[in-house]
Amino acid sequence: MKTAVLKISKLLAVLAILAGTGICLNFAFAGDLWLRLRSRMPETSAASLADTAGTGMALGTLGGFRTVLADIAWLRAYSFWEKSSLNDCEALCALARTMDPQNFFFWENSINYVAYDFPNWVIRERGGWRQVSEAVQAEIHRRAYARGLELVGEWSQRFPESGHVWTYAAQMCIVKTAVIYGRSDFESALQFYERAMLCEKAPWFAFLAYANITRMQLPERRERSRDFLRERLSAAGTPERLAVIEDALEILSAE
Amino acid sequence: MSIYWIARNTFLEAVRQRFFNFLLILGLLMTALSLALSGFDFGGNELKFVADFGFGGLFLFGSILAVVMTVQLFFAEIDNRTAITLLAKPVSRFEFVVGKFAGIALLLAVFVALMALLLGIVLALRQPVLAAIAEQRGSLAPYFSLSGLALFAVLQWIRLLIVAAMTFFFTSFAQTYLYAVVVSFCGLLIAQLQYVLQDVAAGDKTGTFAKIAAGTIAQCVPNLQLFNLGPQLTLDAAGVPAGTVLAAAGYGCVWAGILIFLAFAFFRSREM
Repeated sequence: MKTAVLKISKLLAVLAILAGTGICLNFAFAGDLWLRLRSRMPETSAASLADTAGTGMALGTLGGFRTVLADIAWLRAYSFWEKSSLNDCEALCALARTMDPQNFFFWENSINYVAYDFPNWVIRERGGWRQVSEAVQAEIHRRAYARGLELVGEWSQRFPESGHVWTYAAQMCIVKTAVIYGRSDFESALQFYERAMLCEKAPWFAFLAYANITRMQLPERRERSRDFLRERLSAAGTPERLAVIEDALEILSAE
Repeated sequence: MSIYWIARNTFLEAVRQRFFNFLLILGLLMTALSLALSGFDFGGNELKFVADFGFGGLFLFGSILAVVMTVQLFFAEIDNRTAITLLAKPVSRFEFVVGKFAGIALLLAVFVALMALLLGIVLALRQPVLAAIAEQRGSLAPYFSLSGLALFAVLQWIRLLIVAAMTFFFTSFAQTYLYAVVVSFCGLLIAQLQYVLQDVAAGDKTGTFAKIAAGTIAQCVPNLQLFNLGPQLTLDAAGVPAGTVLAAAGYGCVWAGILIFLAFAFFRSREM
């Protein structure tokens, strides 16, 4: 009895020392330090452990090799993509993105799968394009598009300076809304292009596509688009960028 | 003086072991071969891929070394009865524990230094080549900081010191070699994923009992992810503020000190 009490009191003392150390250090500086560092580290959250394959995440966090493990996860995702295995493919894509969130390729191709391939797999699984009604097909595509946009949001947080993310969103918007509603939502696409043009690294084709779509699809919006481009003119920065915006303004002026 | 001699003998004994040499060669080979494997990367930065290989090898093999060597060297003293002979002389148990730990710390320092040196050479040789390619393509040249790598190596050494101190703590009361190794690796895993416990404790969807349990465990183990600053220190031009590095180093030293103190407290009452 005495030995047991001694053992328990020893254990409690050890726990108290350890917890005391942890609390003191967290209170003094480690808590703040971790919060600051975490924002700069690849996604490290309980949610990612639950959403993706936990073993992969544990391996990734335990032994480093994040880039390598992310590549392996992507290869595995690709093998599931070949088999049209939606859930496995999605989980492994998410795992690859979680382990190496700074890899542009993973984001772009994950959204390609989610927005373009997965809805077609679902329709095929439900019996094919002739069996599934058009309304149901449109709903499946709408959900895939919504998920694609969600991922674009996360992608843009990782690459806030990249205009490519928003030009991708604009192109996805044109394609997917045509499939869902039978007509592309050019207004929303132009808004995505505007977000792209606000980025420091906006691709030049965003300006030209913006002008061309306005001129050919939404001529009534011409004045608004011109105002937007003129604003960008003042913030162009480089002569090359200036020339591209002037070209875009010229496209808008053409009849 | 006794601490010095115990540390020196521990270090020499460890260096002579095949296991240390095997892990060291494996780690060095992996870092050197990472260049050959960089084609396997999907559109990422090659320098990051190589560095990641090196960082991974440093921590993985370093952790295995810290756990296995600590347990092995400690139990060798007990099993061969050399500990009894040693403690019969005017050597206190405190000196024995600190000396052993200092020997392991020296061993880990050699391991980390060699791994970091090779990684530094590989990255320094590859960076100008990649910068030239980037210039031709008109893209941004990859950045690499040798001093950042040196700082990261020091942080990794401190992280491995925590692992060794934690192993020492478990070994100080363990009765078998296997038990000490298994429990130490479990402790390492928990410390690596300590932030998940913090999240569970702070989560809205978690039950009260789970919150208390996760919160208590989270406070009782160090957060080893605090030392994961490799990419920021070596490959990011923005770097990491000196205060952050110092704070992480201080955090590691305090934890290692506390764990060694507890190891001594248990070892003091251990029957040999």
